[in-house]
Amino acid sequence: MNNPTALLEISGVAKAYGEHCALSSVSLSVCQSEVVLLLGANGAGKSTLLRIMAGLGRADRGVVEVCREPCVGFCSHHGSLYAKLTVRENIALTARALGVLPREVDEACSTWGIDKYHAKEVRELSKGMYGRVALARAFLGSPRVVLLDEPSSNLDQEGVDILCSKVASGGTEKAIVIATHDISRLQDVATRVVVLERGVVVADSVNNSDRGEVLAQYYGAGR
Amino acid sequence: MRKWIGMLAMLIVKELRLEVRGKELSVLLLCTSIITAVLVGAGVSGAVLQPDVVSRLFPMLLWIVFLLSTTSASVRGNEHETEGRGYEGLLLCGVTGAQIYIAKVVVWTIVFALNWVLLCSLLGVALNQNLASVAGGLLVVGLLASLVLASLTVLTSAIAASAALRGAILPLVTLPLLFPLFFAGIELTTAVMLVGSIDLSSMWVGIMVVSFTLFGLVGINTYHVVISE
Repeated sequence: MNNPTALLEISGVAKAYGEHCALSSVSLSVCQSEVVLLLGANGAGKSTLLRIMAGLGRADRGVVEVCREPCVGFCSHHGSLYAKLTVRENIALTARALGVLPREVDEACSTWGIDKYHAKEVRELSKGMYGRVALARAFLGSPRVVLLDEPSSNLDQEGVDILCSKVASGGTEKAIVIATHDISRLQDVATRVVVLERGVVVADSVNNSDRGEVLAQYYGAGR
Repeated sequence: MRKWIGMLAMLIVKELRLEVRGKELSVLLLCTSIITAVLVGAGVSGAVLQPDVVSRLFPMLLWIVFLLSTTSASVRGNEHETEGRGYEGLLLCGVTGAQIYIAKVVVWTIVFALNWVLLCSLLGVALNQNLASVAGGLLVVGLLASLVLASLTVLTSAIAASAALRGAILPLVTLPLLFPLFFAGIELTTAVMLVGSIDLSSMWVGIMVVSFTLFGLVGINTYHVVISE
């Protein structure tokens, strides 16, 4: 990576689905301790970009470099969970793959308030609880890069508070990218705002010096 | 290596749990097998064939029903993967496509072998064949065939998972690849019914082992590409 403190660096990434251009030469570098709010209208290319960063999608062009040690924490809006496995079984699969101790699994379940549902199959959970399980799984194993795709869309206020405290406690070690429309509830934890429009980065608070200005300009929501 | 095998064991348990709870594969397999076996039984009975002719036809009928039911039922076998995209979570934490593939092959082999036992019993009764004395040999043939079938259908069902007409496409893609297995299976079943045991050094066993090795190697090396975008 060109920037020594960067944990995630993409350069000239392009992706098309048939005739539709989802991403057009996107470049972005996210350093440790940064929490990036990735904003944009539906179809702007946020999810596509996150999937490419996570390594679950392939870019047609461009370079993607991501710190994958010990893993990449990713929470898609699908949840990446097995619906007919219990909460505990889903998390245990990830824990086993990452060599996470059972004690840490218990702690994660307790932090996200899902410990009382551990024996329930995730298909029986409410959408909010399902989201919490997906988030607990994404943060398991202390990944240095965490990518969250609309993480607060089904969460109640308590769930968002847990998410914000988890993101804020990432400290200087993590780089976190959150694609969201929920600006009002998540802007306080963000250190940087990036706006995507039709597959192009149109604003980045690193260049614009103030995330409030970017939010005000595009959403009228900044402070 | 120990960690790799430990994870594989956990994935096999996961597959078993998903199959026991969802019954995606086994219910469709059971229904298709029973319906086709009953239809074949009724058709042969209606044709009023001599008992020795029925005995000679039995291996072929058994194999037609077995291959048709397994290939068409395997359409549903991948549903729990696509439902919540659970495999993505696994791939991101270092689980390989090969581990997911092998775990599925193990569990599908068990399900297919149980279906073989069911079909032998059903068709045996429907066509008045006494299979008790050759049950051991037939079980070995069924296990070998189930391994070959599972190694191929786990891969093809994942390939067809996003196709709109996968119910039709999957048997069309899979059945031509299974012709060697079909002929080897009929020959082995006929031999077992005549002699009472299976000759493991025969060419037909070799064809099954080669097919399994070939499909298995392709599956292990390409499964991660198939399930990723």
